[in-house]
Amino acid sequence: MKPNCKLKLRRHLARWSCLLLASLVLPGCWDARMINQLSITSGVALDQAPPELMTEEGAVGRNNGNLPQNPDRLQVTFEIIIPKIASGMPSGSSTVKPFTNITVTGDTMHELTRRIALETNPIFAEHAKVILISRQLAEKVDLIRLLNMFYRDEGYRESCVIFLTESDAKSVFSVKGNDIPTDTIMSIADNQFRSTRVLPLLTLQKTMEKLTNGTSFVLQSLNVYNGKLMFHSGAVIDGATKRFTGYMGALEMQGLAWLHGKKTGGLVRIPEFEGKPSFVYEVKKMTSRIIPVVNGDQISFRVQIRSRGRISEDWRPLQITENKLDIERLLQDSRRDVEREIRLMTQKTLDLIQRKYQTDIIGCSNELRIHHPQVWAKVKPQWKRIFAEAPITVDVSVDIEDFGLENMQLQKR
Amino acid sequence: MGPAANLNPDDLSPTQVAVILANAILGTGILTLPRLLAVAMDTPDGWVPIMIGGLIVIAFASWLVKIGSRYPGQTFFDYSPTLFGVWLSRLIVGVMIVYFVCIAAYEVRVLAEVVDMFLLEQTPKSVIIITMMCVSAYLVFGGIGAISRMCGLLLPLTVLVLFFCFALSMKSFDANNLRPVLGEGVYPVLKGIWPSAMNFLGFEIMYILPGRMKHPKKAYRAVWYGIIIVVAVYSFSYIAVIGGLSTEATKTVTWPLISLIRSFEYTGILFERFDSFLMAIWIMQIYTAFMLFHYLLVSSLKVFGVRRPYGGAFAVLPVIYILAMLPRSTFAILSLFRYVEYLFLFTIGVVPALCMVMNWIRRRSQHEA
Repeated sequence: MKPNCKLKLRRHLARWSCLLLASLVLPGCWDARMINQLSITSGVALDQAPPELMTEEGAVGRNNGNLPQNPDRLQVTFEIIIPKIASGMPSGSSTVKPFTNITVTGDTMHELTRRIALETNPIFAEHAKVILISRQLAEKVDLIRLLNMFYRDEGYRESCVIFLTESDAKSVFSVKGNDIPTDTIMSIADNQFRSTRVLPLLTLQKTMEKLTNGTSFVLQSLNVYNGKLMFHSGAVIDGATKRFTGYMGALEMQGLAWLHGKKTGGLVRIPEFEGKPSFVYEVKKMTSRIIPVVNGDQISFRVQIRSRGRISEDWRPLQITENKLDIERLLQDSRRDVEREIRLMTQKTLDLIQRKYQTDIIGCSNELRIHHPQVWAKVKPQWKRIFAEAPITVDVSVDIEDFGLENMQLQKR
Repeated sequence: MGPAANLNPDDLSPTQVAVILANAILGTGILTLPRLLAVAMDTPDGWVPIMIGGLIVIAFASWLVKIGSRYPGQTFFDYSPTLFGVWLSRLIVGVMIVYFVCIAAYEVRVLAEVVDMFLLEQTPKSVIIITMMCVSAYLVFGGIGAISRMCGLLLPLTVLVLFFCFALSMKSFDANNLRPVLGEGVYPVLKGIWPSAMNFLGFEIMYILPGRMKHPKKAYRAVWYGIIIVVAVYSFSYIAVIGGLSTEATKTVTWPLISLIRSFEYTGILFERFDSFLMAIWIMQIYTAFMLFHYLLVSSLKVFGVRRPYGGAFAVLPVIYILAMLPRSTFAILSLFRYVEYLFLFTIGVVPALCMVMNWIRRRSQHEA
């Protein structure tokens, strides 16, 4: 029996030593990082450095070494969440802001991210949600160059959302109140289906996709009014120069939403017209199709817009009628008014983007590429000019489904 | 065929063969194939060459099965000495070993590279590679039965999670990115066939598997099933990536599928981010692919007179390790791949052809004798 006993002992020994070894090796992790030793960044704001920091003397600031002069110097602000305050705070009751902002100035993006480590804990960008670019910078610098680091670095996720700011980008991070500004931005952005002035969000990935494809597009722009954050308007980015070209007005943005046809909500106010008081049309659904028509050398586009919705506010005199003809006439009238209004708005938008900016932000090039690839290959180099000259016609057809809770004795046709 | 009918527990059923085959092929290609095709073709029609490539590979794999089924119960490395003679077979298998080592090194290095990039930044790559090798050696000792059960465990999980990720990526999917279909004709499709066929490497495992089956004739069906699984995974990942990122942007990213999964978030359901799921199952796939090449290597040593695999399994690891650590950068690794193409052609084209010729010669000489 002795050798068996010895074997048992040896097995025991082996087992225990394995366990010991495992317990020594397993808990160790090269990549363990203490959460309180990280600067958890929720947003990044990119600005052009103020003129005093562009020269050599100015650059010898708090965060800078001896930098040579550079007119395109960047100023980057990181919004850093302080988890202790942010988690322990019942909303609005504390007087301490749950975040701090750190601003650094320098020439390249990654350098600046690293320079943070001279001041505080290194940046941890996995939770960055928002990248803000100031208009000034977007006018001067190619956006691919600006966003390159964020796209390359695996620390930033491709799902960050890009915004443009009218004022300094960093001022957005110091608006009044104790809410974390990036959270405010994201919750306003959620209101997309309430207003045609909130554009669909563009993530870093989508933005880079548009920039590398050379398509023009519209970025949501923000602004700070009296210390309060506002969604301001749409900023047109030219796909050829990859820079900011101009803003769109409120009406033009509405027209753009109709041309895109991807929204699910929004209102159309039909203003007073020929003595008839105004009323409001609430959009339930809108779709649009752009149909390219190639006729020899002549390229033109037809946009078909369809919509369903309801009349949600009516300043016209109240009518209670059971006469089918009356209802029919009222519906016809309203429908015609809405269609006219939409046509007007889209025409305004087309005027702006065709005549003034000459940038194809509604995706005509894409439709042409898909339906007539050979033609597209031919016109691609001078697309800007061809788009500006292409005739675009808009057909609108609107279906009014209901009148809200007001009884109009509506009968389903 | 129930387990009772199976006298040898290591005999494989056609389903098991199909699963092992799919596991051997699925590897680095899941992440890189969309980019390779986008660069090679410049049009969004990559799913066509993936399907054509799949058909071609089915033909080649069936060829391997046909050769193997002449020697039931024997793998290529068992019968090649009798077919070619000892020295010629050693020469041929020697070249194949070089190829197996290269692919194993490539797989494990890509794994280390991706893990280093996205998961464990500070962990030395050597640790990742050595850990992987140890786990692989452990399974190789278990023999083909253990391997087939492991593969059977991992493949359904992989397919499930992958298709879950593809479904979620519908959030950023734009069908216009995939249009126009064949807008530039068939020429780009022809250009895409070679890169997509290259990403089916791993089906060399069919040199071994028919010999481990009770009914080698059933291997033909297994080849179809196994490769159809791979074609489905590849073409759906291609469609999801191109639809989500567009052809131009796909060209600019190193690991398109990871970029795609990182580009959206879901709020309101249990998880917001899904890249970790993708990484987890992708690592499993790399593991099985690496392990099967390791197994091929160990089996091929038989030709050199190594009868018991234990020593061989460890002996090849340092070679793989050194080769895996040689390239300096991701770029160098991905270009290493280009040289392996010739070895791939040799292994799947030249060797089976030689087999056919030798078979014919032997039969002729037998008839004459």
